[in-house]
Amino acid sequence: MNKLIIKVVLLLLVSAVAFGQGFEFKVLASRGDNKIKTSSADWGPIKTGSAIMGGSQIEVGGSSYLGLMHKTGKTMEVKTPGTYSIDDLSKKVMTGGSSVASKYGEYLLAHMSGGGDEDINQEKLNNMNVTGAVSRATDNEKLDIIIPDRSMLLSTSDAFFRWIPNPENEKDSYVVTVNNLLEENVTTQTVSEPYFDLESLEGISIEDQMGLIINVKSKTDEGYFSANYALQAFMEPNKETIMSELNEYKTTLPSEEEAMKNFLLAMFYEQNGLNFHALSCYTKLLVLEPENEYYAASYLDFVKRAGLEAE
Amino acid sequence: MKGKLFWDSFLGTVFIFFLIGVVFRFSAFGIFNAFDPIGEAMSDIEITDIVFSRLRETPPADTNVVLVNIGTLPRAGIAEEINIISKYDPKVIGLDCFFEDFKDPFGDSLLKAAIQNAGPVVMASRLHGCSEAKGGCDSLGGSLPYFTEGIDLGYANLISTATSQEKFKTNRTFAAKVRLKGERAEAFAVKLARYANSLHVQLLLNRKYPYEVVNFRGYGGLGGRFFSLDVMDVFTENFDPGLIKDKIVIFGFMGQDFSDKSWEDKYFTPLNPDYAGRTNPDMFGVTIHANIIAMILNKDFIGVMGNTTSIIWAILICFLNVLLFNVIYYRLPLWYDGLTKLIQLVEVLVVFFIIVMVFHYFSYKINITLGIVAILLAGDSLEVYQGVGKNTYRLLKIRFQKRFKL
Repeated sequence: MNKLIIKVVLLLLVSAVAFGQGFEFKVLASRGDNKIKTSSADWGPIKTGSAIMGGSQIEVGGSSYLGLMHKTGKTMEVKTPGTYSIDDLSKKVMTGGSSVASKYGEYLLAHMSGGGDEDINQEKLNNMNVTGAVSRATDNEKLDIIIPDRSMLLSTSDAFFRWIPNPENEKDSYVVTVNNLLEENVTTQTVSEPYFDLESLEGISIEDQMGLIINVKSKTDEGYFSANYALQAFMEPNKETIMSELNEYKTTLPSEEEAMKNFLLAMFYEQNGLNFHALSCYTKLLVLEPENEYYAASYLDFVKRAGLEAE
Repeated sequence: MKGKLFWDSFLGTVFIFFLIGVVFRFSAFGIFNAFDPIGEAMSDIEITDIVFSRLRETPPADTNVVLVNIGTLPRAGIAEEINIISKYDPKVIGLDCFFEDFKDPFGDSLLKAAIQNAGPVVMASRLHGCSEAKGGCDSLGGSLPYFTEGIDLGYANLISTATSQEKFKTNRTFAAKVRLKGERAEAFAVKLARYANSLHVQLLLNRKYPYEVVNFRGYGGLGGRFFSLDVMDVFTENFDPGLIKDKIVIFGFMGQDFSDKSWEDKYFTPLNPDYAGRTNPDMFGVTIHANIIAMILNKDFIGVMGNTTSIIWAILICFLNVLLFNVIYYRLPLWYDGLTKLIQLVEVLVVFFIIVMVFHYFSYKINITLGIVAILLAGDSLEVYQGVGKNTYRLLKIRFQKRFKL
């Protein structure tokens, strides 16, 4: 009899431990640079659908998003960059929310006290976040180089840019000047087509240069020149991770389908905030498949997101 | 006295419904509509929209469905997504997209091969020539037979006032089945749900409603209640392998990527936080299908009060109000205006509360609009009845008696 009781107690204990090993959260959706650290492993990437156990920590990067589902089914979003303890998030989920009856009461009170829709004109200073104007460059520099604002340069690969050709002279040549951020000349080249590939800068270390400043001017028309465009070196802490992921990713891409390869690379770059490289890939893509509507539509959508004007 | 009170209240109730009918007729000419921006804005909301968007407890996430964004991928890209996902043994793959013409031989053939090799697949189709007069639809279209050969189809049509895809679209309901050339065709979401739980699907199809109210659970993508994979997540296989196994995976458009604020293929739904007036559409079509599947698999069906029941309740509520107001009229005439207004206000709040609670706890939609209108009109209309109606009747009665020397 005693042995039976001991066996039952042991069985109950084992069951309790087994049932207690369920997850705290699962990842519903993830975007950006999000990491997880568990009790048995160091920081690593988070995958959608993965289970997160109690005692773990998560880190949400800048401009990143993490959607979590608690073991109870409740959901929460983590959008603010930072490091979070899973146990703290779990407590937050369990204490949030109110009943239907109390929500109804709050809803009625809010509307009865006029807290629903304020007159924005009476509080105009709180409601002036948008303008009716657009940004324009000065009129002196007529040559536009098609580069997204605040472009970061990861490397000289997939770093191809172009500019609007001289409307007065279709056969014009251009002088491309590339300086570093200390305004020391890296290269000056004359090209006959309205584009330039930074891959031609062999042996250049972008980190050493701290970035590049590009200027293009017409060889024949003194009045047709560009402003200086800066490409800052990408020096974020996750640079090595991105380089490593990029190299690994390139090995998985279809080598025969150049267009698809560039399309996927464009998305990879854009997702990592490297719009200059994304644009370079889109440009190559359109050269390869100018008639493809999907690619054209994707390019136009990208142009809008990157704040460029579509041609 | 009691008999007089009963008949007085009965006739008062008839009078109120007569007034409602007159007002309805008058407003049917649309005289007020031109100057009624509020009415226009409110015309497309229902009381239960407020429950969905503001009042109910947040429903739990659903784990039966995984949404996969196809973005603006070309066909070869979608084929690759299908190939990757199908490696992980989903229960079924749903393609909420149409391939209506040939694009390029390479991409088309890759896509066809991917669909054929993916295991169980349901493709969205489109009903044509539907009308109530015919009691069904004429045909089913959508993707080319080149892609759909041997593949299960389910119509993706949703109930909406929009006459074409690019117009303003609101969705609250769907038809689980329709008659198609004499046979039964099932909705896309219903077909997908069958793979997971055919019993629940049969329970749905056995219900007596000609349409079903979608019990919206939530959105997909960022801020959603469904597992969601963006384009890059799929290509980099940045997901847990167990996420896909034995799940219903639906491929559809959810923006260029999850951060895209595109309105293409987006509907206005009751979950929209701005439930009245001008606002942005809030839910992609593919996510509506996911919500329908979640509703079926969790048996979260919503019952709807029929028109006959609604009218009976309206008459009963009106009669009881008139009875009470008549008592006040005769016994506390000085208090009539104030008391009736107060009672009407409290009643309306209580009725709304009951509607909200019944909808939340019993998933039953009480349709009591007529009853609410009757409550709101009861106080003043009864005064008109007592003052004008009954006096007019007495006057006519006296004249009639004098005329015919009775």
